[in-house]
Amino acid sequence: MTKRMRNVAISGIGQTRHRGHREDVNMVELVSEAVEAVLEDSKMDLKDIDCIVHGNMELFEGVHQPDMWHVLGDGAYGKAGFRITTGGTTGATIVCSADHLVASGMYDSVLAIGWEKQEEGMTTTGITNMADPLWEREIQTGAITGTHGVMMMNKFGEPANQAAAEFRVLMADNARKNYKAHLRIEITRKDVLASRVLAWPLRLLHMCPESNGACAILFVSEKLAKKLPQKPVWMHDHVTVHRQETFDLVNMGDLDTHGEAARVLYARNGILDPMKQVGVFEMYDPQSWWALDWLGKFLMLENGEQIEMILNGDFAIDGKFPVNPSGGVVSSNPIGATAIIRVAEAALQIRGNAGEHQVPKDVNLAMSTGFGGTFWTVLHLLGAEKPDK
Amino acid sequence: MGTKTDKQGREIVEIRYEMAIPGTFATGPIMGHMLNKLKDKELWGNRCGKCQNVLFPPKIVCPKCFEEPTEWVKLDDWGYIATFDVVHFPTINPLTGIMREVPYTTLIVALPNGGGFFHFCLENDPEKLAPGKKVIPVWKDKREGRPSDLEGWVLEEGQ
Ligand SMILES: [Zn+2]
Repeated sequence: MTKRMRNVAISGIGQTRHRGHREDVNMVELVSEAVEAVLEDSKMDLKDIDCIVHGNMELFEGVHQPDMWHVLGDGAYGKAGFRITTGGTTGATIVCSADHLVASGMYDSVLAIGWEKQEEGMTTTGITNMADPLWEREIQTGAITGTHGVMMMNKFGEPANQAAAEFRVLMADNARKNYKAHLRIEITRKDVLASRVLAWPLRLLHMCPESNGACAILFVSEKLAKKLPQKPVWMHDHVTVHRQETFDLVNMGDLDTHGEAARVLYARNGILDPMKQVGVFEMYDPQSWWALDWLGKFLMLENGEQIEMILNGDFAIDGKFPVNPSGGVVSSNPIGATAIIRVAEAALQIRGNAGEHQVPKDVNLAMSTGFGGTFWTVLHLLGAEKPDK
Repeated sequence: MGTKTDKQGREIVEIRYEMAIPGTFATGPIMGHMLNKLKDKELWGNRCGKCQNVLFPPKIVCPKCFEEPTEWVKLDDWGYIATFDVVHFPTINPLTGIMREVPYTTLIVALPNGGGFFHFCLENDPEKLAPGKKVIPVWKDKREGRPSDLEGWVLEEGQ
């Protein structure tokens, strides 16, 4: 594990029900729903929280420094506050930041909040504005890309096509068990493969929705965790890797930021066999073709073994290695909240009170990831026991 | 101000507006040199003196060696397809605010002497496209020193 000044625990989790339409509330009210939920879950009084870390993708709604506006909804009035905005990884980076703020001894309690109200604004316009304005902005078309699918098809052929579709079906099956998920649809592999092409071989049902939602997690010191009622989930480690400006566009395999993050995390934490040692994995899967490729990268499967595993049902809630019992990002994607939801869901699985989508076993270690536009990976490791034990 | 109702028939009050943000971006001397040369239908990259890689678009340092490139290189006006994306889902062009017509295709052009870059491909049939096929640029008549001076890339005849 990495060097820690002191242990940090997750002692509270709150989420909205993620939806395509939330015209009934404004942004401040949406955020406050998650904050009220985390206070209820942790039994913590807002006045005892030291610091708020807040983040989303501000170009999506077009509100600059929304944390200023949200002060009355997120509870930040009179407290220390930080704003984090690192694209798709925002929610994951908020978690890194909150962890550091408590681990350093700076604060005993930090509330991390990620949120997005995608119906207010233009997501793709926001994404394309991240490309450099001197060359790529004129060409950039956002997250709707089939290039990974093209590469997987070239390498593995039709089994890859079947596995990407089957993984989407699994996510839908899981999402139907999670009442907070946005898309809780009943679909078959055939439905996925018959849905319309967005960018071949990427189809509509492979792709995540645009959701509205917020998620808040309370991070506390060990001393405070012992006083709070929820079973603490301990932060073990996290790794961030990104390399937009330095990769070789021609050899796309070179941009394996996931594999690099996994290698570092496993080496630091004595993980030799992730599928044996880690109980559950909440992976940021914005589309099922990426999921298919990335499972291989995070799990160090060099020959496409994940294809067979998907078709075998190994990643199901009661399978050999459960992935995204929550239904994943293809079921709910309020982007600034999406990566913190992965951490929240991983923590719920360790606590054992995820509800209907709880995996049927004790989870000792869980991993979660975030991914964003600049080929940016954040990988978290959480545990039921303290990292120094 | 526009109004609508939710599923229960309750009135939803919203404020609607469109945002336009005009922008001007300084290119700096290196990108500026390359963009200026597009007016003459020429592609210029810069070469790292250490690894000899040609960078296009040109960069202030080589991303591999972190050394400053040492010379300008006029590139051949053809390349290979590295990968491509035939897009059927319309999105807004952030520079114009206008919805793109679909389908359209983006590609990564690999240059014969190293490097690669994103641009548009004027062929939308995925059956005709494949990594490794040779492509050539189509230039606009009126050029103003920006990436869209190139209409896009087409397959070289016989490809
Ligand atoms: Zn070099």
